[in-house]
Amino acid sequence: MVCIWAGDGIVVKGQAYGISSIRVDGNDALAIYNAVRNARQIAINEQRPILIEAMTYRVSHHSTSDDSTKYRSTDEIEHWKTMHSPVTRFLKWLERKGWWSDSEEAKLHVEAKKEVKQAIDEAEREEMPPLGDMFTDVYDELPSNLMEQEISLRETIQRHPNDFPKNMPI
Amino acid sequence: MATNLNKFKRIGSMMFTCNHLRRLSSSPASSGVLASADAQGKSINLYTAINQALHIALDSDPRSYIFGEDVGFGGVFRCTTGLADQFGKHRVFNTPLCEQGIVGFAIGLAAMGNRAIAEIQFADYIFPAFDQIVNEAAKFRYRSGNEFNCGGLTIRAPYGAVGHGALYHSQSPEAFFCHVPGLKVVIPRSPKEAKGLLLSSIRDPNPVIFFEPKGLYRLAVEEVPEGDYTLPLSEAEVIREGSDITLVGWGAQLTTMEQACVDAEKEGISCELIDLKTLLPWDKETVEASVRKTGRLLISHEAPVTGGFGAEISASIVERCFLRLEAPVARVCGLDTPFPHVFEPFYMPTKNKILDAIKETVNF
Repeated sequence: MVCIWAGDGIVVKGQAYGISSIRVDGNDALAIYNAVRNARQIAINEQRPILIEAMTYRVSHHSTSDDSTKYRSTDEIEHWKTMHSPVTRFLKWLERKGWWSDSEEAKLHVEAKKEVKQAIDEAEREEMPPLGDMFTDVYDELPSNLMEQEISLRETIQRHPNDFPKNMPI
Repeated sequence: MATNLNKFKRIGSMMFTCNHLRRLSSSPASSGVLASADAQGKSINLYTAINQALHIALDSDPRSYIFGEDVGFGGVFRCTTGLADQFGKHRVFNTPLCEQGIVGFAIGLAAMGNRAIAEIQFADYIFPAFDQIVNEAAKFRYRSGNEFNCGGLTIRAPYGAVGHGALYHSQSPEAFFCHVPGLKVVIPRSPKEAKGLLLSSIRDPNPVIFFEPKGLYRLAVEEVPEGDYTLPLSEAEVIREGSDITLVGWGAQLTTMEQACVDAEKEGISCELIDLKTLLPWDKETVEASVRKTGRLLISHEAPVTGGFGAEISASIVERCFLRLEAPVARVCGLDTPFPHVFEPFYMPTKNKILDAIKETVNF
């Protein structure tokens, strides 16, 4: 990893371009809030750019086809998950202030889960986009080559209906 | 190889003559044919064959280096697995996420007489390096009147459809690079081909773009000689003989084309299938000889049909075989849209699209 991180992050590059820059703990919600609020004020009041470097860590795998334990230890992942989770840190701060409780947290979890599940169910019931959508939005208007290709494709589908997904409106 | 490299002569402070590089780049292995001692190989998949080739490249030339995003960990497709452990992190290493930087660095490394094997994690992400490849690597020899070159440069990149890659993990950008004098463009169809062609590309005294069909990394399995061997660049191969129509393709698309040939045969059409292997500079003679025999030509690639490399093949063969052709040259390719996500099965040049075009051409 040393070779990638030989430089000291990106905050120094902002300075190199004459941009006021700040490095902030990206896993600290309050720190982020303050940094962005101040940066926004400068940007609006003084009409100049600000660079914010928010230091953080990707706890999950890169994608569904990635197994990140191949290149980092499970201990490392666990450490960031438990010790530095921005959600947990913010939660603890709220609880200490007396503004949030375990029961509220549990209730929120149940509600959020329900909401996500409902959204997935709805999305799955949604009809697939019609075939024509494949050709639109390449340009503002369909050019002749795409018109020809759409016609040709529809003929192919008629000849070989079993070659193509059945759940798409043709 | 190492001895040769140490003999590398310097003219002035940092100038190398082309002749020396040429000598450096000659392969230690027999070229073209597989040595008989190597004939019994193990059955391995394509990424393992690539891994073997890279292993041999590092082992046979102490001035060869492999680098790119995550290659130190083995790469996202496992092609560089174990190489950093065996050859050290000074020869196999991760780079920042910056394709322009990867290729720029590789050009410099190659220009100083090293063999730079750079990986671009997906062909879809080669475009930030386009300026380095087109304006620097490809012109290095020409603009210095052969005083300098970066022939030790090889850029590997996985390309092509996998079924769910969508816009940015599916593209076949080979045609962009086929428009660039000074580059070579190579695409293998199988594990055995991949190993031999990659070793040739690495040792070729010109910059080579080597696109690997990522859909075949695990899927394609065949017996591959364990030792060091190379396969010639710019030589196409007739992989299936026939008399009614010539089909030309490369990489993963050949699998689909082969299926179309098999189905066409059931209907009494005899297809000749050619693997172009090297797209630039390409083997016109083999294609021409085949079309002179069959009188018909079909080209198929995943990349969009407009401006695709099929157009170049079509134009060249019409120039050479106009009076022999019995039908217009057919192209069965990707459509002129960005590579789509849910519409991928419709976009692809499928077996039946090819079969229909074969029949149409033969019955023209």
